[in-house]
Amino acid sequence: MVVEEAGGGEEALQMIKKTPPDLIFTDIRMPGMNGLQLTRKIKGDKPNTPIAILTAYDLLEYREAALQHGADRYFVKTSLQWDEVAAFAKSIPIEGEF
Amino acid sequence: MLAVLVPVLVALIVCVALAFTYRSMAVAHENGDIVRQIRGSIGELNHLLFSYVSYREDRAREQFLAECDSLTKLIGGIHLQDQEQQRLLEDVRLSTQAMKDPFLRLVSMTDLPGPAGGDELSRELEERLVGQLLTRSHRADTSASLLRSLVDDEIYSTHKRATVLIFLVLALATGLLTFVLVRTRWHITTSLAKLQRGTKVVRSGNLDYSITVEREDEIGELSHAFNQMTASLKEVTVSKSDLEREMAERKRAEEALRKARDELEMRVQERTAALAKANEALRDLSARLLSAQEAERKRIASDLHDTIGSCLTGVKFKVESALQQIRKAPEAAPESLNGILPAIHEAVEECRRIQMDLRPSMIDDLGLLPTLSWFCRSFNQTYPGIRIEQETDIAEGDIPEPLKIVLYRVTQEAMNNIAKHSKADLVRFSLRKLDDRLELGLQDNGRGFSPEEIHSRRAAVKGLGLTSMKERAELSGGSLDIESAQGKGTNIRAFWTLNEKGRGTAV
Repeated sequence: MVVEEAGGGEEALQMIKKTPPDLIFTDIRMPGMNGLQLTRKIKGDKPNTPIAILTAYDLLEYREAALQHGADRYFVKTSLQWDEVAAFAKSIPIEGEF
Repeated sequence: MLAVLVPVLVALIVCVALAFTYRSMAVAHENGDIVRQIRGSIGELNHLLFSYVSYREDRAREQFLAECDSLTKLIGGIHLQDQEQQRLLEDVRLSTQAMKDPFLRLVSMTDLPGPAGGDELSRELEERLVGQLLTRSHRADTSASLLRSLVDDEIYSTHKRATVLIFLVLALATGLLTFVLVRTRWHITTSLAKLQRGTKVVRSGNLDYSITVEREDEIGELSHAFNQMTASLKEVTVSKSDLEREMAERKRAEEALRKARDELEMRVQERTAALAKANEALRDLSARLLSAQEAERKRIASDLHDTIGSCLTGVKFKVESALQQIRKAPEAAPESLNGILPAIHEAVEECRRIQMDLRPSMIDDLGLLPTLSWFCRSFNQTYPGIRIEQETDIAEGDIPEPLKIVLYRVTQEAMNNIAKHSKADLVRFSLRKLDDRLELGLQDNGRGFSPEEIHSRRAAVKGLGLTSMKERAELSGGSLDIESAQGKGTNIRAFWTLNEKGRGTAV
């Protein structure tokens, strides 16, 4: 398993172009393009790419917006349940073990 | 004209008649002289006849004959018109001619040789001849005398006629002269009266008056000169009135200018006062901004101390306590550490709350409409006693980006005011697009306040409050009205025009 990290939305897009990932975790607040915009962009190009939002905002409006932008899951950092994250990761049909 | 011509013609006729009369008079005088000479000559003949008869001298005979010729010549030189005079002259001529023959016979008798005075017959013949001569001489003298008398009469009558004619000429001349004088005087008088009338009319101010010129004489020239003078006077008067009008206009313009200057000065004073007031307001605003900034810093500092600070202090105690427990019983470590998590979670929550309060990142991430929805929800959570009726009739894309934070801050300020002061239990919030206008409405059913309170110092002291809302709206190109009355709630309505790009400036 290879994990790659991007400093912002634009950088993430560059990396995805080079190596299409099996799963994407993104924050909302990032310098430049935010997580929601990035999600919409990736889903516009490759709708099957699984994307999970990982944010500190535990707010209804953010949740709704994330779903509207095409995110598959919404995790709140402060009340993060690791088993839920793991279950989500396992549900994705990829080769190898998480 | 006729009145002048007739007397002149009569005078001319009279003068001609007078000339003829003078001519006849001269002829009569001439004839009178000749007739006098004829009478003298007849007298001389008588004298010579007596002389010859008495003395029989040759000289007397010669003289008698010469006198006879001279008399005949005199009679031939006279020309008479009157028939009676011609008859008398003819009588004189015949008588004198008849004298010549007997005288020659008498001379021939004297010259015959014979005894002187001896012959009776001769004497008688002589006496008869002398008597004949004397008779004829007398007859000639009588006729000449009659002729003289007739010629004298003629002279007298021509004299008389001439005198009458002269008187007539004089009378006519005098009449004509008087007529001309009177007429001339009348003309002069009427013309002068007309001029005088004209002068009076002109003096009364009517400069259009002109005198009708009937004659081309000195009076006519004077009338022409009067009319020219009136025209010149009118020109001068017209230019004078023009000048007066111009002066009046100038005076008016000066007055208007002075008025405009006064008005301008007044406006400058007003503007200066307004500027001073605005300056004062600006200074006041700056001061309030500074104090608001300071108050905000104080609030944040206190918030940080009371919330995150106390949370972190709690976390520190809990970590120290957990460390002690782990040292005593390492197997209880997860449990001890798990006990710290809620405190950390609380600190994170507090941090997020403060951050959202300072600047809601949601407005940048999601836009205004979700942010307002979140705000109303959290407001409701904080103040459950105040119900919010939310009406939104605008798309996110219709709201200009710079206006979003203004709308959020105005709403936040208004809602905070409602929560703190109004004692309302219902708020109607609306955000609508009406044609090219964006309208924000916030109406509560609270206790309201009097209009004087809106701009009062008390309101200012309450923070940026109502004034800051208005300023925010106006600085972003909109307008904000606050309607309120004691016991009747408060209605805040703000408007922005959307059709112009770039309207609405973020504060």
